[in-house]
Amino acid sequence: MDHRSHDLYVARAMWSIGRGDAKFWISVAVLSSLVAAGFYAYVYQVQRGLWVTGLNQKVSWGFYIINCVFFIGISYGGAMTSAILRLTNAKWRAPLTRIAEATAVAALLVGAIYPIIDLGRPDRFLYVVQYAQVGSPVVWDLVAISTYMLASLVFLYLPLIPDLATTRDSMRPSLLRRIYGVLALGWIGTVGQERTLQRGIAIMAVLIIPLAISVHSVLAWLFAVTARGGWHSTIFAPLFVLAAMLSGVAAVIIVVAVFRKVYSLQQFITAKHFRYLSYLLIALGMGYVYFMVSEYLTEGYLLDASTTPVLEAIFIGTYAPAFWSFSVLGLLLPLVLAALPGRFLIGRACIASGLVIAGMWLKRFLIVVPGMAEPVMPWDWGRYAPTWVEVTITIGTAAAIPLILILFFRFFPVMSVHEMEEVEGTPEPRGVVLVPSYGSGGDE
Amino acid sequence: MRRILIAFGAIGLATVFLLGPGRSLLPGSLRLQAPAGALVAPAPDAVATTHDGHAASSASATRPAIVPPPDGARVDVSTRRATPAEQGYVVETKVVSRDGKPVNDAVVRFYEQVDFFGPREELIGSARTDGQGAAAITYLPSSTGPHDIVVRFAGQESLVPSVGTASFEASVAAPPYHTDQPALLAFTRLVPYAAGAIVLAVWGLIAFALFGTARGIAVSADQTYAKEDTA
Repeated sequence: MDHRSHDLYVARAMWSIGRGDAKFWISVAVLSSLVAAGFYAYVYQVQRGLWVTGLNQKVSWGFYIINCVFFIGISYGGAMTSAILRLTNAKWRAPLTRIAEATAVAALLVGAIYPIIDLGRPDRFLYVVQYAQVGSPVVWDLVAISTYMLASLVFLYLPLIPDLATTRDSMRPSLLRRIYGVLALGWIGTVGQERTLQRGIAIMAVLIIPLAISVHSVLAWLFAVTARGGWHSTIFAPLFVLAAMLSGVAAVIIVVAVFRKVYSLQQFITAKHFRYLSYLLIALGMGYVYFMVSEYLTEGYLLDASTTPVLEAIFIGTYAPAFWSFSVLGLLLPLVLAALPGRFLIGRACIASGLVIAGMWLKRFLIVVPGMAEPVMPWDWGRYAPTWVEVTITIGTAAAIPLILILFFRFFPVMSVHEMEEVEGTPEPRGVVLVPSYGSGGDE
Repeated sequence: MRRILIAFGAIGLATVFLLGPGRSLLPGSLRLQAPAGALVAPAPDAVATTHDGHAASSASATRPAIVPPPDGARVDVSTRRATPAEQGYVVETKVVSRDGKPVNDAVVRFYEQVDFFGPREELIGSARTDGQGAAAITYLPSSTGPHDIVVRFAGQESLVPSVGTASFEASVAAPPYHTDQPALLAFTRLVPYAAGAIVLAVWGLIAFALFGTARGIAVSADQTYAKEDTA
């Protein structure tokens, strides 16, 4: 690798730092408006109480819990993608890991606030700590999510240290440069520093996988330990974990595609990356189909009294359109789209990912709402229809994820320069045409 | 940077403007309120009486404020030990009209005043009055000590609903309810502690990864600078 390559990496990875063109400001303005609208809806809800939502006595979990599971799931996919690629030392990971890790943190920040939104009385949130019961899944949910959030932030920060030093060195003396200097911890790239950093990253990469699994397992157990039809299933934890990975990888594909386009990273993030991510998507999707069939087959064969009405409602009843839309458009079609050979690989990967994300949200709806709506006493089925408050909060929080990412990458490199250089290895002799090993494979 | 700060400032100002100055996020109307009719709030220093001013069997310090209806019945309440004693107490009531005629075939409900997220009335039984206007239930309290009983007559024909109260000191109570200990309980009790130990270990590892790395990088930088200075 020569200085030309280094300068090229730095130029592209740090292109956005301190830069604010018209597209940036328009994006920030639009996304901020959506976030502000969501915040207004939330304040409206806090002032008036949960009756302004579609939640009711029978269906007391709705959009908020669905979104909590959904966004934390997306976060899980980002962290897992990065951790697995690091541990397997996949060279093609270099331009992707930063985006995947930042997506994980942004989605987690959004997903983690939903239990508080669902409370109605946010001032009672501290009761979870104040009156903690060690046997309560809610307490362990708080522990798991907060630990995972801490780990995700550390996992994002550690690989950022060398790039913070590069950013520091590329700036004129200023307050910002001083801040980068503090965050870079005096990084100058010695062998000792390199060794220490690699050890820290390896610990976090190993740790983040069981942590992410634990978060989604505890979320699944919140449902599974409840004696309700459609929830009381031993397969729920692995099913939730797989669903999270599937939707998370799909989200990473879309985020990577957007930043690739907007930040002109086509030279670094090529069709090869999308092909590999599509393979991951297909493998996870097939795994999810297997788990889902396994769940419905055993429950459908047994036809337990509490489960049968839920299965009927999902397969042929009120929720059948949502279920079959999810199964065909949100699961099978994306897998076919991603698996097909031929042109428009990136476009197909993005469409498949979009369908998977929409489908997985619908699947969470099918888990939460029918399970709540089924009466446990001889009453009528509960009904749930979200109001504008829930829809606005959902849109506002969804807009917060790209907003966080855009703002984050305005201050930090969008790709890991250090990792890209690491993958490239030792300096090449002059005159050799550089073809980055992480970037080979052509483009579309 | 400045423009970002301005953008956030504008969003903040817009939010304050939309919500209006001085508005509380949690107005008093959101505070816990009992549904209408579920609870008669206790009046301080209320005296235990029937609605028409007759003294009840004993007094109580906290008692619902009873407003005598203009044309209600009189509801007298009394308690006595049941036979056998283990059965608790017999709570008796007699409902008579203003002119002293017994009100028969009327449903009366017996409540005990409890403190459950604030004062509440817990239904302990109901009975139908006989030809003498009398009704009774047997009540085994859950604890010994003072108990306040409220008897509510729902009204009948020209008689409007009326209330009577009584207090008694219970020396007999239901034995504590015990369930059989599940065989796995001893093991289950350990699970949260095991999970807690794992969580602590994870936090330790995260702290080691962060602070160990930070320290290692700083030390290595210092050593390099020291070598350069020496050279």
